[in-house]
Amino acid sequence: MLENGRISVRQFTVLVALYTVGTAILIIPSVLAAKAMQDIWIAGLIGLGAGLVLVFFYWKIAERFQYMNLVEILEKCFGKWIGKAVAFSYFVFYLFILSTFVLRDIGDFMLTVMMVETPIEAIHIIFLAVVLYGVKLGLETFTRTTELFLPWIVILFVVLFITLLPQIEFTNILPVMENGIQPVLRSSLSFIVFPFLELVVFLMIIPYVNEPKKTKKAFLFGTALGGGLLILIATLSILVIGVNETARSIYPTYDLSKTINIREFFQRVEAFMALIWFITVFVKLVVLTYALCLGLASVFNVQDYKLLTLPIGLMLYVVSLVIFPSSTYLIEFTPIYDFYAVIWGLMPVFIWLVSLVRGKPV
Amino acid sequence: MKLKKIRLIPVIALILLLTGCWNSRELEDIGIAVAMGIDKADGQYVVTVQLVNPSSISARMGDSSRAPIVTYQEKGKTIFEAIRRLTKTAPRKTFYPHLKMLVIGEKLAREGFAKSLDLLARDPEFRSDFFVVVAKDQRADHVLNVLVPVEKIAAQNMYVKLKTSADVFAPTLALTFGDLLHDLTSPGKQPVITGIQLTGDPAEGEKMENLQQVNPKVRLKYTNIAVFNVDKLKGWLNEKESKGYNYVQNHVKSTIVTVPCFSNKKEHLSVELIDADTKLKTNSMSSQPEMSVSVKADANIAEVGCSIDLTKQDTIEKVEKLVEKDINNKIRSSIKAAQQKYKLDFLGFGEVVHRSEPKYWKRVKNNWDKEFVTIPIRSRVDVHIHKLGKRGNSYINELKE
Repeated sequence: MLENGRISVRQFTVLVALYTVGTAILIIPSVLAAKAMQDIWIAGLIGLGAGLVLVFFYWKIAERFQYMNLVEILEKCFGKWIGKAVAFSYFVFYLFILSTFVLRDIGDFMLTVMMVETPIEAIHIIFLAVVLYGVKLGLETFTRTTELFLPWIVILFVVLFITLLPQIEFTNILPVMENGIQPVLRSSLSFIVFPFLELVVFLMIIPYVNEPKKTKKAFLFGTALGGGLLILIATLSILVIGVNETARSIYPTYDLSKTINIREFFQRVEAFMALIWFITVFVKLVVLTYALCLGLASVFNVQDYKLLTLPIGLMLYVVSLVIFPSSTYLIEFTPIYDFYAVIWGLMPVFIWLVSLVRGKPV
Repeated sequence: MKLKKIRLIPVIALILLLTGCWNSRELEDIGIAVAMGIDKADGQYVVTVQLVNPSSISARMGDSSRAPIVTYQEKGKTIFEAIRRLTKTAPRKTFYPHLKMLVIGEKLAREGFAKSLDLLARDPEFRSDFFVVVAKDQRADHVLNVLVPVEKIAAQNMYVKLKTSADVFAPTLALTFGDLLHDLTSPGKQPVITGIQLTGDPAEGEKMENLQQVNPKVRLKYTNIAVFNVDKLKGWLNEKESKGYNYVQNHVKSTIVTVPCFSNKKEHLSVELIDADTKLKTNSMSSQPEMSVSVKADANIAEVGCSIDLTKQDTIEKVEKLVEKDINNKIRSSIKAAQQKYKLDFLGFGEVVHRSEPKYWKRVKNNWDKEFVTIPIRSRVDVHIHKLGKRGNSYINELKE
């Protein structure tokens, strides 16, 4: 057994929900608004619906393979060596790349709006240090940390929502479906890819829940909760700052929290609101890094996954710095990434088909 | 085990060095900019920045012999260039998150100002909640160079004044930068901006003497609203049209309406509007397009300057009719200004059409202003008077002859 810790079903739900919110909370309003315009909420609901189907499917795979972890599933399915090769490329070309994106997202955010002159390396080192420490302490520990953070997220969300209520203009979401359903569907595809497709990483965590059979409801509920919060934030930014500003903004959620102003008294609280995504990005990165370490350890038969924490962390650090040369590159690259991610995210479908052909595993 | 712990110490020490004070800026190193003015001269932007002079506004140690504000001016091909060039003249690096006012000189406003403002939307130091005004018949720097009493910081004075007058009188418009960006890019509404005017000689306003008078010679005064075709100033509305504009926009929270008494046309009474709600509507726009404005308002009697019997329902109804007529006149005059004088939809009917008739909108949105002037607009006002204040009939009714 690579991991001896166990988490409860409830903890699993929290982990899934905060992971789903993750980095998406920062940019999803502008991603959705780019094509779907004021129909953001429709695109969001379609995306969430599809996301739930996807998550259900991921869970089915876990169930079919008797709650093994992803690497073991792949080995079982494709045979030991091919399985290992597929698992290796899966972890390196999808989850690793994804982790570098997540790290770079928080670095870029800090540099763009909060600490313009600070070197990005400083932000990455500090953030990564906390994440790696979490991974090193193990699944149980960082899950409990996540649970401790949860009330803060809830409080901040409620404050954000209530303080923005006076500024809501409902006319901003009219007219509905101005350009037909097509742009809405294109936006919901982006929403499926980011963040729902990324939930595949929980195939590495389900085996370590104390009652894996009960994870189905938890997985679906956590996803719905996280996805619901994202839709709420995206809709709120349309209602408050309008569709054009949302689409033009790089970090609309931050702009949204900047508009909070209750009688010239309760204002300029955006730095507090940023706590929401510091926490959710931390959760996302810690889960991803943990899955990476665990997965690669099981590919290479390393007895203790914790040995891999530092090397993987160093690689994450370096790659996250060189992966995009500029903000413009990232904006141009995002649609390409959507399709790239679909290929990896739909891997479980392939696993399913192969396992059908080969008959039910023991 | 012990050795391991000792090894951790330098690591922890390093983390302390890495905490986020990279861009820390000490209060004594920054000049807090509270207002910014933009003009154009010789093809370059002229940026005027009003800074707070901290030593003279401090409550305890305040040195009242020094001016509470100070302005610096530089030229540049872009705003950013001018701001950075300011470091040559300003003693500290200017700091913008507390910017309250942006003043655009009338000349620049007539030439088109939109392309100068990208920095304010892009740079993280700027928030989008400061107000934007146009300096009527003036350069922006003249407006920023005036010393004003009560609120020592001129920009704060302008900010509060605009907010208050927009709230309780309503011919002005407290337009934030964020709203302005929306109007500049929305095909269904042309922007409008409130004007600010300087009374008296600008040179006098820069002197401390201006602060030492009970009735300062030079003052800053908000005027009415300027109409723009995208970003080019086309003209000024009068007070009636400006108020009409605010009624149509549903911006009126509280204002007064003064109407002649029906007992004696030379005497007047004032009604205070406490709440007004405006709805803009369109029909299906298919064969005979038509749009409408309807206002529902609640009001109280505020001041009576003639002898009428307020205890009769009949009188109140008559007053309501007069008030309705007055508001309707203002609305009609703003519609007339939009459709006939300027031929620009600054009232935002295009947005209403966009929301309710998206198919029709797609056909007309590229020349909406041309389409707009041909569409009849109906208006309807409904006023309800609730309270009389703390008197029933006025003492005026019982004045000795």
